[in-house]
Amino acid sequence: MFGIDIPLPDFWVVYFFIFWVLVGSTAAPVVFRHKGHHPLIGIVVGAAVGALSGIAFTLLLAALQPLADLLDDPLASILVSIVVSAAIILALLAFVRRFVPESGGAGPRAVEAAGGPRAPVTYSARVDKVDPGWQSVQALRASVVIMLAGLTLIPVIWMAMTAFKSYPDAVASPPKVVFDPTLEGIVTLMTKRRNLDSAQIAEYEARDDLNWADRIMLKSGKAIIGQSDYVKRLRNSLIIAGTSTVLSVSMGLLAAYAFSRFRVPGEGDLLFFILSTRMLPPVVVTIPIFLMYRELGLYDTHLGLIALYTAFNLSFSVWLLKGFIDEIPKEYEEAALVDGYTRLQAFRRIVMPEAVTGIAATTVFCFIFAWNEYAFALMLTTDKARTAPPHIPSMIGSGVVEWAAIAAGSLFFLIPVVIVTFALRKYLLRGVTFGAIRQG
Amino acid sequence: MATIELINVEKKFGDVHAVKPMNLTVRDGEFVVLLGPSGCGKTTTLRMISGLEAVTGGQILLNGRDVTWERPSDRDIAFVFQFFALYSHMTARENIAFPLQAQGERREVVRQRVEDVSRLLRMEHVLDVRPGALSGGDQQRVALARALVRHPAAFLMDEPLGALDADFRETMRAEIKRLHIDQHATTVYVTHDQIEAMAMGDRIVVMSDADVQQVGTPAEVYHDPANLFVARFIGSPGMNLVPGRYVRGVLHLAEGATYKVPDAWAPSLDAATRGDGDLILGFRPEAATVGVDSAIPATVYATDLHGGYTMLHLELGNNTIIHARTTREAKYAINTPVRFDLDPAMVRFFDPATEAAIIPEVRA
Repeated sequence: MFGIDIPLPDFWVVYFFIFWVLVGSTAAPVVFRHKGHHPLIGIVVGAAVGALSGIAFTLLLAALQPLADLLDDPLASILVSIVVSAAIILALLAFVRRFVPESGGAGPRAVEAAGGPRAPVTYSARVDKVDPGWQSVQALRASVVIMLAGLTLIPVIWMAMTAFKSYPDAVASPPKVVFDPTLEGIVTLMTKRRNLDSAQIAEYEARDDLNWADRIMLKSGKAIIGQSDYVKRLRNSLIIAGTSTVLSVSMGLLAAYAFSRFRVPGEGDLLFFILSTRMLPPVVVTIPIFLMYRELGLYDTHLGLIALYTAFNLSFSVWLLKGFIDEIPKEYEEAALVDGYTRLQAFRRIVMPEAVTGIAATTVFCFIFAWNEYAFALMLTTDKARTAPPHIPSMIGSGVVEWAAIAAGSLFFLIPVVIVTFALRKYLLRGVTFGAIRQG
Repeated sequence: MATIELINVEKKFGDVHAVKPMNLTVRDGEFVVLLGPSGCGKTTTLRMISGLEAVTGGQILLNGRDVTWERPSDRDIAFVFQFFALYSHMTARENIAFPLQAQGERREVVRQRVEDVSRLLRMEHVLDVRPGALSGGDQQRVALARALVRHPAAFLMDEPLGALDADFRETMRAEIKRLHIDQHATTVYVTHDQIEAMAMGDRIVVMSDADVQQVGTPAEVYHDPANLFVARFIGSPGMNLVPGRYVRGVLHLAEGATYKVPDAWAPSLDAATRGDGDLILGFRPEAATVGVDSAIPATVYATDLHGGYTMLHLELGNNTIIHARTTREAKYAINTPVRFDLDPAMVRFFDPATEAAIIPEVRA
């Protein structure tokens, strides 16, 4: 699209360049604001300081190259460069803090004059009361967290990038960071194609009823002849994981409520029995289950996988939800019972809203398990009910490996989990209960 | 409003009685306090009246209607829990409206009644706040409002002030008492705080060991305890109890001290001991007056000033410490020998074997 073609520069150079710029541009504004300047100046100065440190890092790494060659280990030179460049940026920031002049009406003396604390504090709602050194440390911590998060996200980002690469870009060595994005991988993923000879290509190019996908494929001499299996697999995954999650959470909620609230004979034994279904590695029972499913006609059916995943998740959801329901004081329901509600109404109107955090957490975990499950899906399905996890590796198959299509398949596979977790994040993060019943 | 009758109501867990068969009638508009130490069965009794706990024997009548096996929701009672049990996912307004929604009231009616009750409790300003953000006192008001809003036949309250700070408890106590008078609502109130019970109750039911010890007005349980438990439990400090041997009109206390019993008591004590036997003398701290030529010798063990009065701790022989009230100005050095007298109208006697109070014949 843009005809860009730049090979991957050294990873560590980029990473630490960004890191130091981030550190500089978050830590320096604190000093500048404290001394009464506009924080924007701080951001600019900080970014410059960071860039200087990044350049120092690059130069050090190059200078230490002979050492790395000598030791046959690049790690030592990288570590030395990190430490030295860190010392440089800290020294530069200290220099900025020491020698930037104070401008009127701000600064520590002004805070004290305004009746603020004599010694700067480490926590306050008022930013001018907080020790600037402490604020810089906070900024530094935030930068480290952001960069570590970035480091862990690199494989996912790389996958997302590969999904938009053309075949030559995807297999290029050295790998490309900046490339010409294309939808080729996604179209390959979604369609069945056949190769065309040059006469057919010419014939196709003459047609005017081609859509954008057809045109993309035509560039590599292929014609789309139908939808690929991937869409079907993804739909199967959604149906199976969604249904089994709903089933296992709702059944688990009722069972957990009963275990939590009523005197169930043999409660401890029953709970242990439920838990014991988790003690065996699932793979151990694939063959017996395969034989049972073949006899029962559940082989390669949606119902079969739904039942299996529900059974596996149920033990988990009963135990997890029981913990959450135990946390809800029984006076909540008793109040509702006295106020004129039946037990079922009290359950729906009081227990379920109060347990929403637990329900959300259980839903996410059950969904992730059912969504990612590979071994059973591989053994117990062939086509009709096959889910995405066993399908994606099968795309490697023989001949040319369509890395872009595989990456696109994995990317689309990620999206539902991200959506579910994102939609429920509010409940996942919220405290279990915020104190309407006072304990004590 | 309503009367509540308990007829031989009992609760057993296995073979253990949580509440021994008990009879109690709560009259229309009465404020009855169930008082006792923790684990005495008072909360279980309350929960049986509400229907949250099933009885294992006996009958519960509400306005003459047998509700023993009816569901809590069909009994037309309101329950205020110790820790309020406010729903944290609803605002105060929704909490208060919750019981009305169960009855399927129309929206305007619900709103009107929530406004009315919140005006009564002076809490309109907190209606749209969630319980988690409310102070203890406002949470208490929301809980009370939720009980009041339905105009139930009876209120059951399980230590509603137990979760509040000490200074605020006084205010809320007055508020609940005032509310009871205004609403003329039949109320059963559980507490372990005898001061609270004395202050609030029309009648007090003193419970211990799953059994009713005494039912009476605050004055009755204070001045005429039915047995040693009530004598010790009511009052702060409790009744002074001094063991002695009764021989023909004179009670011989430890170390040669004697107390001549009032003439009015002599016939009944003669009858109880057949003229010669062990007794326990009981009197309240305010019944003892220290004087120069008084009858009973003792030594000062300790004194403490309680603001309005001084509490003297006197040691009789035999390591028995008794408490006596004197004026604020009275000053006694420790170990001073003193003598004291008892107000003849305020002494009581107990049988050490049965622990029951001896009832004077003139009053019986």
